[in-house]
Amino acid sequence: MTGRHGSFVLMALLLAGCTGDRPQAGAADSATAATATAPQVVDSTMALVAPAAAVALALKEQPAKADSILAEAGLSIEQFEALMYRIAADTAARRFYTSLTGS
Amino acid sequence: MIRPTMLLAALALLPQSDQSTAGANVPTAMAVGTRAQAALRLPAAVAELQAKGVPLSELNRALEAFRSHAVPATDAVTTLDIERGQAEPMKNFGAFVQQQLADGKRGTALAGAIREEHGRRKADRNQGRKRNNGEPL
Repeated sequence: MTGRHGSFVLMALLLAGCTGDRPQAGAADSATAATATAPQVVDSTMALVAPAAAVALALKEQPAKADSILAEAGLSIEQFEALMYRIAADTAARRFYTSLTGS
Repeated sequence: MIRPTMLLAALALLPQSDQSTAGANVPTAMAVGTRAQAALRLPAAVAELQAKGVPLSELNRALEAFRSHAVPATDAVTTLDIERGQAEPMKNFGAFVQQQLADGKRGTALAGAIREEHGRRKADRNQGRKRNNGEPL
């Protein structure tokens, strides 16, 4: 793994980690279920998009190293495609992906 | 003189090496790279079709079909690009794609089916216009 690949994957893990540890106080304090679910939706979108965006940036940077980039991210090509299908189908995820990758 | 055991060993190796390269469905580095680059295009391709008037529900149906059938992203992007290139979006685009994938169509067969369906529907529309004195139905 090159240092650059590593930094992309590390960024993805950090982003995903940040989303997973959010305190549940918001849910406990909220009066309605709607306010409780909103942060969870954001969390799940970030958890879906951040790792894919990190891999996407690395693939754009070094298209010839797709094999090693995917391997470092722990993804097969089929898994990466499935991830991108899910992102493309979700408007919020798609916008977030576009904002992270610029495309 | 070649020893029989050496000859047997050589013959035993030949079919195995052929199977390992030709028979196995191992993606090459090029194929992985091409598929990965196509996968990167998916969000933009979907956004372009949505902007062209294809309902999101139909796009999602197509994407879910691609995902559930584990269709390579190269096929998906080709399909979406063909749809984008048409003058009018196909009604029930997602359902049509879903049916084609369920029928086992992939690659050029899938692309051909999309083009043929557009041609058939265009002919139907033209036929309808003729019957309606040149006005769209």
